[in-house]
Parts: sequence; structure tokens; C-alpha cells
Amino acid sequence: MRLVIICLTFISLTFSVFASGLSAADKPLVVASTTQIADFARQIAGDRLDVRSILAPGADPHTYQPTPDDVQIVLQADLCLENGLHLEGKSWMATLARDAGKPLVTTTTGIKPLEIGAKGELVPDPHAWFSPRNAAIYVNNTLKAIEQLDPLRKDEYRARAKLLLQQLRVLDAWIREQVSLIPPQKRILVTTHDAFNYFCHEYKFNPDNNYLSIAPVGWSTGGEVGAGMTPKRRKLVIDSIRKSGAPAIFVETSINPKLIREIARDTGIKIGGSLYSDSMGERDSAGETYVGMMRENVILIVEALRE
Amino acid sequence: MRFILTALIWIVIVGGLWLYIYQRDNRIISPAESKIDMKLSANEYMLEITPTFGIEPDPFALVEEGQSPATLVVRLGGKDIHHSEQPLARGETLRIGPVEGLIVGMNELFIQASPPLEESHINHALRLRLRHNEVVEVDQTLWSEAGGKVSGTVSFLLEQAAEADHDHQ
Repeated sequence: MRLVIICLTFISLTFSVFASGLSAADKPLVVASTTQIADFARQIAGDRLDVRSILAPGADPHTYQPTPDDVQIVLQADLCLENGLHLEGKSWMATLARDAGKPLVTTTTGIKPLEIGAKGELVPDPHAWFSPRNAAIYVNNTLKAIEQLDPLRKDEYRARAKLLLQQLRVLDAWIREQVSLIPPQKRILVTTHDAFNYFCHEYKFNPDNNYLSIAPVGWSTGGEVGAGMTPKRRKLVIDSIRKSGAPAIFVETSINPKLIREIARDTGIKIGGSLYSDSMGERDSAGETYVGMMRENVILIVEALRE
Repeated sequence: MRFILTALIWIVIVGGLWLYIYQRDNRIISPAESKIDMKLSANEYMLEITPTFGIEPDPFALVEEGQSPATLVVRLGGKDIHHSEQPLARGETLRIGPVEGLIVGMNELFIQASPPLEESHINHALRLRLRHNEVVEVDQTLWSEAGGKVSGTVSFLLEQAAEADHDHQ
């Protein structure tokens, strides 16, 4: 009997050692600033790494204030990934990584940024992921960082990255095909947040605005989008939307829908729908991955503008 | 004492099982290995690739350390036999020879080429011919869905007779 008990103890000990070896706690931790970067990292890492995003779906990276929980996560991280180009307001991800003494990789390195006017000067537009070509650069940079973190599984990560890059290529071709359904003169994309410059540039929207995104004048405060609306600024927004000639305007999932409905009623323009912009969708939503986010945005845009 | 004895028995059982599995896996011979001594003469074979599109660098390619993205990759039996970084004009035929690695039996060629993104609205094709002493042994065309790369495998059987013919020449 005693022998049986000892054997059983050995068996359970052996299994517990194997089981603990597979737990998430033992996996290297990759912490990304945004949901998009976390998605790229997850697609490359599979189940080999624990990938987490600081921003939750729907959160605004420009105005985000890190919490004590974020500090704790970054302290445990083996690798930190950021967008860069000042997407993370006041460089909060770089600050978190530096304070924790963790390696930080900027995933937009190598992208030729579009320049946008802000407070009278030209600054690089950080929303580079809206072009799948740029997304391919994010993927290559993320892959390189992950390979350095875990070089023994290099081939595995590269195989996943190759598949992801092919998906991005097909996504790009699909967007071109879908956008071709909109007559060129109707390709006017007005959004409440000028995050879609790369998208407009790549797929030839807004020719009268040098193929850049159009956001209503007076809409954005430069901080929280749509905040601080006054009657004067509201008039500016309405005039700007009317002037654009857009058949529809688009909002973001994080924008106050009541205000948008009022402005749409005043301008006589319909609301095309809510687009994913600075972050992807909630878990189990159609926009929970990069490809899903882009797909859903394009479907909404084409449906609203082709009529 | 009993404790040590139990541990020893346990180690013997687990070790024996591991040894058995290790030996068993080592005994399995892959089909490629079984054909190792049945290689065909590379000099007699020529591969011809003709695209209906201009093969160009892929902006969505994986960035390899110290080299440009491949425009055309040809793999035979798991090994790269051609890796080009140069464009190839529409309709132009690329000849690759000698073809190293052909074996008597089942062979598999993998081909991947990148069409221009500007032509992503149309399907593309790539014709592949394998010649053995000027006689076409394999002639297949691979197609891409709009936007995707032309990418696929071509499997073909090379008979022992092919080698026998060669022996008589």
C-alpha cells in the first residue's frame, strides 16, 4: 500500500512539474501599448509568449494616463512594444519602459510618415497602421524583436509572420477591390478624428484634400475628440461638413453618439457608422483583430458611400 | 531504503519508455531518405518558368537580414533551388538548370512569385515546365487569386525508366 502511495506521489509530482512548465506564468511577457501592436505580436508569437496590451479596446492612446496596474505589468515584461510617432501621448509607453528598465521597440521604425498640421507646425501622423503596407512594417519590426527575445523558436515565429504578411497582402487587394465600387467622385471620407490619412492616401480618398483625411474643422480639441463643443465651434463643424460634399460622415466607437446625431441632423448628412480607429474592437467582436478591424471599416465606408 | 528503491524503479520505467520511443522514432525512415540513393542526373533537367505578369518585389515580404525580399522562390523537396531578388518581365521565360535534387519517385516543387500590387484586381498565372533532355516531363500552370501571390506546389512522378533511358545513352 505504501509503495502505491509513493508511486502515486511521484506521478503527481511529475505531472505537476510538466504542467507548471506550460503555464502562462513561465512564458516570456510581451507588453504592447496598443491593441493593434498586441494583435501583431500575438499572431507571430502564437501561444509561446504571453502578450498583453496596455490599452483596452476603445481606449484613446493620445490621452491615456497609465495606472499603477500598468506599471506592475511593465515591471514583469521581458519586452515592450510601442507605436511611436507620438501616438502615445507624452510618450507614456516609453516612460513606463524606461522607468522599469525594460527593452522597448518602436514598431513604426522604417515607415515613411505622412505629415499633418498641428498647432501651426508639421508633425508625423502616428496612425500608420491604416495602410496594410505599413502594417507589414509593424509586423517585420515586431518579428525582429520577438526573435531576439526567444531566438530558439525563430523559425516558428517567422512561419507565423509569413502567413500574417500574406493575409495583409490579400487584405490590401480586397480593400482596393471594395473601394473600386465607390465612384471616384464619391470617395470623400469625413471622420470625426483625422486618423485616416494613411488610409485615404493609399486608397485615393479625398482628392481635393491631397488624399488626406478630412475631419470637420472645430471638431477636435487636439486632446479628447469632440470634447468642449461650443455653439461657435458647432457652427464651424456643420459648415465644414457641408463644404466637404460628403454623402456621409463617420464616427468612432468612442465618440458621443448623441452629439453626432444632432450634427448629422443639422447638416442633413447621414451617419455612415462607427469606425475602429485608435484601437480595435472588444473581444469576440468582428473588429477584435487588425484584419477584422480593417474589414469592418471598409464594409461600412463602401456601404455608405457607394449609394 | 524503500523510498530510494521506488525512485529507482520509477526512473527505470520512465527511462525505458523514453528509450523505446526514441529508438522507434529513429527507425522511421522518411520517404525522402529512402530515395537518397536514387537521385537523377541534374544536368539533364531544365526548369522553365513563364509568368503572365511582371514578377516584382513584394512590399509585404518578410525582411531577411542583409538581403532584399525575394521576387521568386523555387523549392524542390524542401530545399531552395532558386531564390531571386530580381524582377522578371511578363511573358519572359526563366530557365533554371541543372535541377539539383530530383529523385526517382515522387518529387515536389514549390513556387512562389509576387505579382505587381497594381494588378491585384486580376488573377495571374505562372507556367512551369520541366524538361528532360528537351522532352517536357511536367507542364503545369499555377494560378493566383486576385491580390495574392502565385504560390503553390507541383507534384510529379519521375519513373525509374527515365534513369534507365539515361543509362543507355
